Amino acid sequence: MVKVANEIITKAQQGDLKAFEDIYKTLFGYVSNVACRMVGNMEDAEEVTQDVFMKIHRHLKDFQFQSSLSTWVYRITVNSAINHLKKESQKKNNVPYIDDISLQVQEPSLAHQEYQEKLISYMLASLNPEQRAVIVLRGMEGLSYEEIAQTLGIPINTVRSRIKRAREAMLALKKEVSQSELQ
Amino acid sequence: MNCNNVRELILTDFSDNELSPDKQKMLETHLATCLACRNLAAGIKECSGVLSGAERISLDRDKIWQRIVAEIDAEKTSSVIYEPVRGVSVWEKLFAAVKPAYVLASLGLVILLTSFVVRRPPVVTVQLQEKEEEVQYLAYVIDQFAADESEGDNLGTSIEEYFL
Repeated sequence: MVKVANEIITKAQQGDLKAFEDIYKTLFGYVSNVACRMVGNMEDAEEVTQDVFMKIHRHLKDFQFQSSLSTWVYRITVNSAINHLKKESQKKNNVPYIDDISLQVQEPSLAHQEYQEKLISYMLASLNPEQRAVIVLRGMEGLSYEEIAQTLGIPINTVRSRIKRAREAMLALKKEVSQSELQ
Repeated sequence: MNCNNVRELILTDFSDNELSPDKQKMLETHLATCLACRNLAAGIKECSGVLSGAERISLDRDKIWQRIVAEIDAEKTSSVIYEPVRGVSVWEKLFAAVKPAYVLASLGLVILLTSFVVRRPPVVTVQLQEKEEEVQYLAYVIDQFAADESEGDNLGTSIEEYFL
């Protein structure tokens, strides 16, 4: 997890926009990556990222230094992304179908990196928002189970059960992809 | 260790290096002899490798910062516009607007009460006068009645006296 110096946080709490910009620059990469992986497209990820930093700006004065700023920011990011996904799912069902995967990955013009990227998108899309959150934090951000539990405010065994179900779902999807590639 | 327990651990702690060294060694011993569990561990490793090898997605940092600054400015502006209004509540504004009406109403009430107090004694006097008049009238009627009675006696007496 990234660390932000306490004096920068204090200055930002007092309304120093330059200090807030320093926090933004330090945490932007993590926030935008988690937002992108959670919501699945750039446009929505930009919206979520902006929303996250506006929430940080509005509520930074209430930050008590009881946990690290990064933990707090990760929590805001994941919650904002989950809320966004839930709102979007009410409007439309945007989870791709399994059939689409074989069509996309069988194209010979796709480079290996593009193939991997497609596979990641489909694997994450096969998970519910809560499972996606633990997989992104563990598999992409490298947080420990303890850090994930702190970030999401859930028991460590809930982290385990979500990771387990998410991996079972991803394995099932990967098996389907492999079968469709063989056909 | 049976396969069910191992399967649970492969899906979670084992694949994420969250096991103690002792348990890790026990599980590796099991994997060496169990093909199904070994295949599961390989599948999880492959999935985890895909995720951890993913490139970090980078959005346009400056563009989003400009939008954030614009939103912060908009919030500041709206709070500045709202500030003068915040000092005076709706009730205070309403009270200020109808203040003359309150003064007039108070004056009217004072006049009404005064007139009520001033007018009340004559009413009592009139009532007393009426009572006195009633008493006088009754006294008069009683007197008249008594007079008539005495007159009748006198008449009879006087007639008797006349004829006698």
